[in-house]
Amino acid sequence: MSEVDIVPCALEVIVALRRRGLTPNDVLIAKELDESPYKVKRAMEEAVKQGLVERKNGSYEVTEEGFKHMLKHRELYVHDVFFHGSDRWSRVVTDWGRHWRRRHGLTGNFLRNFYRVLADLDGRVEELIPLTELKPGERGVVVSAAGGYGAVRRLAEMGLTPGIQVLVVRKAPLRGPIEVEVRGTRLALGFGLASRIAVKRV
Amino acid sequence: MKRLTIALAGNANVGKSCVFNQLTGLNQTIGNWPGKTVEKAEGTLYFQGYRIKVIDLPGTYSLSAYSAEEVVARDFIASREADVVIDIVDASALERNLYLTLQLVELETPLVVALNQVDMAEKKGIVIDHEKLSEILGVPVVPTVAVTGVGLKELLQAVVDVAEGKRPGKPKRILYGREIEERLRALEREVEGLNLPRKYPSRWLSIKLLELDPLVVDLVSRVEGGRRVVELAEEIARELEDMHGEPIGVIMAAERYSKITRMVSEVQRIIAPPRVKWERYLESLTTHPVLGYIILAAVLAGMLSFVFYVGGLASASIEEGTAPLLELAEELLKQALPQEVASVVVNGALVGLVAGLTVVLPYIIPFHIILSLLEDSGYLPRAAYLTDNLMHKVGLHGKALIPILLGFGCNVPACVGCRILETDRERCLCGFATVLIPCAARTIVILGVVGRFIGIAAALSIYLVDFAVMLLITRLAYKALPGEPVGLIMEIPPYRRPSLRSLLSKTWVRTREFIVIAFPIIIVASTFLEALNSFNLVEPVISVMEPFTSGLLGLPAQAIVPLLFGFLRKELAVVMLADALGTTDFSQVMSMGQMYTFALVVTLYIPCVATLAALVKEFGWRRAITIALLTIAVASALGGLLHLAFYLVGV
Repeated sequence: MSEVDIVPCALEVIVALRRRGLTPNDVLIAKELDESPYKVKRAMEEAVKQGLVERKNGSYEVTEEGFKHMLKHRELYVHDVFFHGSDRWSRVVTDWGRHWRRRHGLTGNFLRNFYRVLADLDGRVEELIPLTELKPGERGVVVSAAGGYGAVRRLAEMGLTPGIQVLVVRKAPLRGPIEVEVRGTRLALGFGLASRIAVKRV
Repeated sequence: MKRLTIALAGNANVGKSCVFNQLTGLNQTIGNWPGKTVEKAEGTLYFQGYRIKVIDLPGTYSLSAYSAEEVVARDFIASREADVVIDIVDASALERNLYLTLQLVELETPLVVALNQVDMAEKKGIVIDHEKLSEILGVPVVPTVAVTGVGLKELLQAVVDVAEGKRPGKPKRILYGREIEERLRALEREVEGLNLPRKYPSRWLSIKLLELDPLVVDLVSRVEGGRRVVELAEEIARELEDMHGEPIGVIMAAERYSKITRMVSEVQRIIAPPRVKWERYLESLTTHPVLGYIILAAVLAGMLSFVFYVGGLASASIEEGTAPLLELAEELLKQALPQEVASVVVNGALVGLVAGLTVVLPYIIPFHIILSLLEDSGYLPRAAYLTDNLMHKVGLHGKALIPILLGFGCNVPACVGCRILETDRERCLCGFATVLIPCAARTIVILGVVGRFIGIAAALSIYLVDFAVMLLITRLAYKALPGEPVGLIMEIPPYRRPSLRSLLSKTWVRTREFIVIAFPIIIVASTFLEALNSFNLVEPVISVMEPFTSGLLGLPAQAIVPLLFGFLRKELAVVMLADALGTTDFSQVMSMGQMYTFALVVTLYIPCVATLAALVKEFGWRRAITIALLTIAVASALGGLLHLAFYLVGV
């Protein structure tokens, strides 16, 4: 990871560590990120200069500006991974509200909830992966699903509610449906739908 | 005799139709719910001096307002027409099944729960304490095995007891979490103050309002003061959404599931997890990325050849067997009636009847047997799983593969086969696609006219045009039909042995329903066309239709006759064309352009009368006529364009 990339990840780690009641210092952050403490320290100095974090007695606190920066990072990540199959399209977007509406058909109501989920996220956004990324035999916990209201609701009614653990049974070839086990039943989910379901690997 | 009405509710794949068939036997009728393409099955049975009417509600996973099936089911339950509702629950998937149960409880309907497939659950190592479950829900819970009929007597006994008030059947109220419950109470107080139909429980209305269920919101906002209550509900919903960051529908679903998880942990124990071996082998074989497709191809090929081989044989022998009878009938009638009338009766009505028989008995019956077999065994969802990807490219669902493939043989079973799809929207889309699939009869026309006299490449190009039109119409319908296109969310039930009784009764009842609707249409159309023939009305028809036939399409004026008869059976168009033109060598009297146009128009215009009858049966008159008119318009437009193009090129 380059130092520029470390900053948003470090912000996430700081927020997560604070939530767990720990005091995030260089060493702890470096351990969480699996990077050298030296690199992290350099990145944090840059972050302090930009006013994203404050340094007190060797530990860090995310500023309001920093939190916004982190949210933007989360939005970009979710956008790239869940809506463009990890292509880095987001670099050219300027008006995000418009982009979500026009390009991805997300309504205002959905967006509001979407930002809520992003802000409340426990842990790093990079832990969120599309359900389709799991291999047969792997398990994941559902965090949230993006898509039309009907589809999201239907998924919940079939048992795929936030927080539930799913087991990937098998995947059909060529971006075909994915079969999962949830609440003791087997479901086949279309690839497009499943690729918008955010899970954390267990 | 005392009367009772009961309704069967439950998820798909829980053995609901099996319970229905066991209860009612052949004493049943299948039709559609008024104004919907949702199947309605009704039957009667006699038990302890009661005449019990049984209504099989469509299989649903929920009772929201998002599909026609769910609306039908919940309207029926809310109407209180049923004295008792039986909720059929799959014991081997209790958690997911209780989701519907909880919604039935919300509707406060008298309820009896049938804990079905307890044998399957035992095989999976699941033991359920049904008495405990009964205690929690406050209604009788009866373990059953519908395939063998175990427990059905006890189930009926429980229903009668509840109806007579001997056992409590009114479910206990389920309280949700405080966060939601407090808001529901506030909303309920407001709802109670409104002048709403008494049949809906006010708590249920409040829950649905909170979920922003479009139908209930509509119902409430139409009464005096309702608008304000709806606004309050919207406000509360928004508040909850802000707290959870999920749409309100998801919040409520999660809330119900959290209740269910607690219930299940109290009543269910998992002793040992082994699944039966042969099932697991079959499972991985039939969904294997390579072998799965080979097996699928074999199954489909087997199905097509069985339906059409058996059908072909039977069809030929029916035709041969009835020919002397028809001649005899004509001889006899000629003595009693004038020549023309006798000819109309025999060549019109009777030939129409035979034509119907040669379609229905040989093709429809074997098709229904195979279809029931695929449905009941659980293979269908696997086939859909394998093909969903491909079918999605044309805007259809994986399961649509079966009707589409059948369509290449005959459109009639294909249309009937659309019923395997889950939602009204998907059935309609699939119906639109299937009626344009080039069936065996169209193939005869295309090869017999274009293939023979122009060349195989030209014949293939007609297929391509046909597919293009099919895609276009399906696309249009995809945009025009109401409802949100939802990606595949389909349950994969475990494999199970189909029951012969259920198979046979399904086949018989479905075939009978088809005969009732289709035969009158076929016979009337056939009689009408024959009447034109015998009363010398053909000439006037030719001259009336000349602007269309010659002017627009550039065909010989007589070609209208084969076009009309092609409506009866498409392959008749070739025979009648030879008849009308007085030669079988069409290239003598028609140009290449004319032959090509003729074959294309026959392929596209109006589905044949039997298919039309099937469309009416499955989708109702309005949609059948829409499809007929749409195809006529497309065929005329394309025919006219072709005429113009050929004229300009000089072919």
